[in-house]
Amino acid sequence: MRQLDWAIVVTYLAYVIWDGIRLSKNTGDAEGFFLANRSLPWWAVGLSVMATQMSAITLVGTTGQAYTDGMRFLQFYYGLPIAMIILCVTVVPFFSRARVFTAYEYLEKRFDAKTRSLTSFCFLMSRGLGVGVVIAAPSVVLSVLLGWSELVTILVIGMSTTFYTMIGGVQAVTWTDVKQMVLIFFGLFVCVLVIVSQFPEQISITDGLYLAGALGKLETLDTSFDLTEKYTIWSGVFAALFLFLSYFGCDQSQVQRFLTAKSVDQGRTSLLMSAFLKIPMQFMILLIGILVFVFYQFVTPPMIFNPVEGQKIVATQEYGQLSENYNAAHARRADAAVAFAVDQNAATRTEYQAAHKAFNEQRIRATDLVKETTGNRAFNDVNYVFPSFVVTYMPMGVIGLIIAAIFAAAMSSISSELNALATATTIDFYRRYARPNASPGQFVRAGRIATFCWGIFACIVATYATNLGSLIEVVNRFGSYFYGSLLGVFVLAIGVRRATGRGAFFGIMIGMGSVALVNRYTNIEFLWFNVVGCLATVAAGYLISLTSQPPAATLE
Amino acid sequence: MEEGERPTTIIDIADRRWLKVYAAVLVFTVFIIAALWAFSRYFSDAS
Repeated sequence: MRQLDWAIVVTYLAYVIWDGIRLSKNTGDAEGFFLANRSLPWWAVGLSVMATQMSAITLVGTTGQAYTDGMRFLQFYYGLPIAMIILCVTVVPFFSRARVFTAYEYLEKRFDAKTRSLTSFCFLMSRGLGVGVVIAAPSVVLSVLLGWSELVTILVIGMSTTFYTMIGGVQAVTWTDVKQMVLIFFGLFVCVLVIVSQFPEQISITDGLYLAGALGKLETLDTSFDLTEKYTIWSGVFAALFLFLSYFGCDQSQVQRFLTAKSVDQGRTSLLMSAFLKIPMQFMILLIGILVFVFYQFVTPPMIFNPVEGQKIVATQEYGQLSENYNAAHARRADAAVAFAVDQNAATRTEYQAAHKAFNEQRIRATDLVKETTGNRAFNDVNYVFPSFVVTYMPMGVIGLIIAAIFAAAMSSISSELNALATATTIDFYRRYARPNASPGQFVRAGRIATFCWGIFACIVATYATNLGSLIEVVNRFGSYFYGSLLGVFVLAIGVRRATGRGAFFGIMIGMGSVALVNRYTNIEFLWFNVVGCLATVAAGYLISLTSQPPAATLE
Repeated sequence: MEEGERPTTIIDIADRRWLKVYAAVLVFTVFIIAALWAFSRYFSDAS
């Protein structure tokens, strides 16, 4: 990082805070602060939906995943367009016409206060811990690469976002999301151009794709039906469909996006924007990882991408020999890659695949050595692949642009999530139980205080999450326990006329319990937990509803 | 269907005006998945 790069990063941070504060007009009452007076155009809401979903770890983790595992991850998004259509037909008109502030408020209108409070409470716990992880994950990576302490990085990302979200409310969140998405798109586009320009002269982008293809890195369709396999077309179209339905339709951090749209139609269009753009955009992010992989066919990659952990094995006895073998294996692979690129035939292909396998073995030995030396059995440097490449090989100015884009991806998710946490706290608890008749100004003040408190809470969680790998796992598992059941209770609310408050309340509990049992006694991948949780909640909720009086009238 | 009107059939719930848009999204998605598969096969099977 040189002065120009630092100037770009600092200018970005200063601009986004200034812009967020500038956009705080018309936030004097709850409707303005939490829903922007339901006045935003579809394209701004649509970009905000995409920005909220794409955190920094999506940007750096997905590129790293493409580098190590290829494009299989793309299948995870194949169910997203179907989910968006289902949501456009169901929850968008239902929530918009019910004029609610939160998704959970709708559940009180349909069922009762305890169902609303339970779902809102689960959302607050799950999302509150989740924001901490969203701050922690890029902070760990950026602190290593920028030379900052983790605490400083957490505070820069967490508190600057908290500040403009607290002042500007949802309006500031949405319009900064729009600009942050533009910055991310621009950064990704520049990134592709720069990586391709750094290929050796005799290697074109087509040659690069042939190289990646020969090693199976471009697979985008796995039709095998295996519940223990994470990414197949079935897990993408069916299991991830349930996750997307729950995330975009029942999680307040996304529901609040389309509630700010001018009309039902604009809310629908904003979601369909993701349906059209998400798969191509994710393909582009994965392609960057593939291009970095191709680049490293000709330039020796670091043995360990995390420089701090990599340094720890330098003093070991095995390092000298390992380093020598690693460099020799890379040289063999580079020669084989050039031979295959120049003359694509079965012999050059087989030699290239064998050379890659031999190189991979050396890399696995290096990561095993880190695990043995540090005692960290869960060590994985996949998230460092892309940032490490950026700071080492990108030209001056572009480094600053990409680091600013990573900050933007982190902040756009955090701001929407903090805003949603504040909205649920204020509307579902403060207004519902503490001060139902407070003035509009008091609701906004409560919303600002809640934003600040959740921001502090998220930063505290983030400081622990950087040190405790298991905490991240706990958060992810808690989220997957909860999401399927959350979707199930909304299916009961919107799709099952006979469902009652008692059925919904106990249905959620049984749904979460079912996921816990499946997790305990099977090795099914976590994406399928959403299917289990949803179906168990709907089935149990319906049966329990039959034991009580039918609801007097069904709310549309 | 106008806002505020009560839907009576599944087509009304889906809102007739939007059916062509939803169909376009599905066709586009199938096209994209097929194009990605063709892209993957084209570069993977060469030799």
